[in-house]
Amino acid sequence: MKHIVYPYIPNSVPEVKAAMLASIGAKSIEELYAEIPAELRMQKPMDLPEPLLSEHALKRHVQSLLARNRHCGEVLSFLGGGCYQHHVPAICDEINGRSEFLTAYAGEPYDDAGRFQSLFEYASMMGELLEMEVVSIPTFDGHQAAATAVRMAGRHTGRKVVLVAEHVNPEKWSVMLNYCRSDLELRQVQFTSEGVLDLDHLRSVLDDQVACLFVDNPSYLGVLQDGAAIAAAVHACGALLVVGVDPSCLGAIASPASYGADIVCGDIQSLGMHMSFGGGHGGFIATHDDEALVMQYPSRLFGIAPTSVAGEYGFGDVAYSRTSFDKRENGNEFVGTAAALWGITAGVYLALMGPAGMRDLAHSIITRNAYAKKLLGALPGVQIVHATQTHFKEFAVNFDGTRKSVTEINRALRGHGIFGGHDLSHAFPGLGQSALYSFTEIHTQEDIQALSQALAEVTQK
Amino acid sequence: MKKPIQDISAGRFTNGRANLRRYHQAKWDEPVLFELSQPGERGILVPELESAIVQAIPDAMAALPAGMRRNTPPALPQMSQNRVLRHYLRLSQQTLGADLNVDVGQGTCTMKYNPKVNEQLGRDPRMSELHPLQDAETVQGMLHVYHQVHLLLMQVSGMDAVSLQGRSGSQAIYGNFAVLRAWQEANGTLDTRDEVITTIFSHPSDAACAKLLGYKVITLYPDADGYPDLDALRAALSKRTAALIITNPEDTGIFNSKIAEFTRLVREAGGLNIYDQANANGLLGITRAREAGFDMCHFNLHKTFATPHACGGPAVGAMCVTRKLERFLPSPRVVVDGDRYSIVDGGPDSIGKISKVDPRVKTILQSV
Repeated sequence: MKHIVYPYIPNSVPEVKAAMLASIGAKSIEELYAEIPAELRMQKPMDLPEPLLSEHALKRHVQSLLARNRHCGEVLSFLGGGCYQHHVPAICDEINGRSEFLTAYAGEPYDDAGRFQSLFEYASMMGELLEMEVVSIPTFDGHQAAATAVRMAGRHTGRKVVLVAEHVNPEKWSVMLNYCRSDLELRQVQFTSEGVLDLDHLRSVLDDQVACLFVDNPSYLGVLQDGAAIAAAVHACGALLVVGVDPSCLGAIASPASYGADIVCGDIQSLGMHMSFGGGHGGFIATHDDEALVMQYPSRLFGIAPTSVAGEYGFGDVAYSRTSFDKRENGNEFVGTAAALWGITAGVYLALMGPAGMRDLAHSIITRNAYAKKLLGALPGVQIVHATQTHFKEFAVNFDGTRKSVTEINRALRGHGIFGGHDLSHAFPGLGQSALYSFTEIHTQEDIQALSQALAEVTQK
Repeated sequence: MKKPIQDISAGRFTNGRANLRRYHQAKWDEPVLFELSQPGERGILVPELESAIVQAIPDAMAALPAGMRRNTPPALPQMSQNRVLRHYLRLSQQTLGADLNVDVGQGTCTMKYNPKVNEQLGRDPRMSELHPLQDAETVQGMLHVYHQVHLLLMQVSGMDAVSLQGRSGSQAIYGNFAVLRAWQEANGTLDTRDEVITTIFSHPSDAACAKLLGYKVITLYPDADGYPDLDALRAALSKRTAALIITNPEDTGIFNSKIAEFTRLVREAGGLNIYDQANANGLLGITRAREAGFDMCHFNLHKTFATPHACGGPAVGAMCVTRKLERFLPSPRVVVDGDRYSIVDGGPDSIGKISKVDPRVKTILQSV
């Protein structure tokens, strides 16, 4: 058999292997497997494709696969629904590509001081944006953050019913159902035809069994609604208000804390992460500094403290005893690897943007959506759903009047180099043939006009 | 004549003891970001609104309820771009990534080399600029990669089906317990079998995720030789046993040679066997979950398959199950017909979603 020296594996030279075996007194590698019973040993090699041994061959192969993708940088994409195309500052990629951060694992403050400080700073900046004092180290994604937030509310109140505002991302709903299935009951609260939570329905389902209401504001369909009235109704029955929010609106939009939210959660993909087919997500959970509620977090929390050196800060875990790392099944839920590098990156993003950048971002997105509503709403047979509301980042567009399905329209748009909005007809059949169109700060006037013209063409054919 | 250069290196040791032990990690005395703020500074500018848009939409927030406008700007730091860069480069230098040093990790978690070409490919816009809701016909390359990774993990584990939706090893453990629960709901044993057995040297998430899905946890302690205690297992098994979850080797690093006996006893008692294979580096191609009698297992792609650990994520935990459990795996699935791939719903028995959209594809791509 041909002997291969594998570049990724040190000590694969036969002489080195022999020397290592000699130093531990073993005759062959087989002796190291002596504890594995013969009947458990594989009797033949795995049926795997031939390896690509040279780096060049590997690169050519993967590039040939990537060539079968069409990406949002080469077309005009109006897909949103929880994952968004934003400008990613070059510094964000520069920092998260650094070997030190990229390949670090689970060091302690003495060897990973920079990791602890940068994640503490991420949490602190999120805290400023959210107007809350406590923010978790990132969890997997916004869906998981929502699922954990309502479980925190359940533990805090000792109640078993979780109300979920109906215009929620259907995938988030599925994640929450799964995560709460063993001991919480999830019920949906209706929306009005105006696209906002039906307060009468909410009041009719609130009682002393309800742990919390979970509401996304902006909603899955992009509508920003008044939070204060919802908070008052929820608090009147002793339940908590849990709000899911897109952090990129908070430079111009009121924080959920300001209208009474007790737990705030969401996704940080918009804060400096590429979409990466869904790989750029990370979740945050935030609360006020209320000890009873803080002790319900399953996640790690990083804090700051003086050290024995005058003028020096130290950073480390806070209230570690809450976690499954400390208490196994007697900790809160579970904790482990999640999305720390995206937390560091979101910190870089917020430091670059500052208050003025976040204000400009939110204002630009809301204005571009309003402009897009004006253009698309003027097309024959096309209607903006919840047209009178203020939308952030996306809104639903109904095509029933064109007598064409979203599937047909999107197929035709791809021919124009456009990815049309996400099809809502399965998850929200009540909206008919509707699609969720998303616009961020990167969609220029020209882009929006190009979409409008292409839609005019494909809907009239 | 010049002295040979070897003379210099000979000075590194005296009687076999190193004379040079002067490594120092950078320490920058770097302030907290907020202390670096200078009012008025900007780190990056947002694209300006075109004048035609401003004319058409003079106040996009006019219809917003009054209480929904933010009155006080967030107290974020105000910094120039190079100051932000310098701050984070300094913090990066105070972080000891595995590229810089041999990371012995902890417990069963050892770090592997993360090839740089993988990182280069993962950052290609044909990967990084894909939206997860794109039509399947526009992401055939990625779906091919998913399919290939499924086939690879089926070989490595001996299992029949794979899901890559778990965003870490712990989430894959959680996913496997969700599958266990769905399987029990389907066969009507959820009310009668509510105990999960694990060992103290298995990962804390093995116990924690069982509890999260509503199971009582029984923890076995090692026998006098440090192995999982077979007699303790016999004593713990009963008609209430839903499953065993166990690592092998455990954190002790020693392979449990009686593992097939463990799984046989659990099977005979009517439970399922779940293998925590977060880190399987030492066993790939040597021994597999299937032959040892397991019904499910998971692998951490960021431990066993050369993708970076990234300070603790993003990551992927791959769930692998036998045929009888396949219909309970998370939704959606990638299916292949000839050379065309499509994304289909997981079906009525699927546990649904355990994480947002699709998994950390950069991590998956790097595992191929």
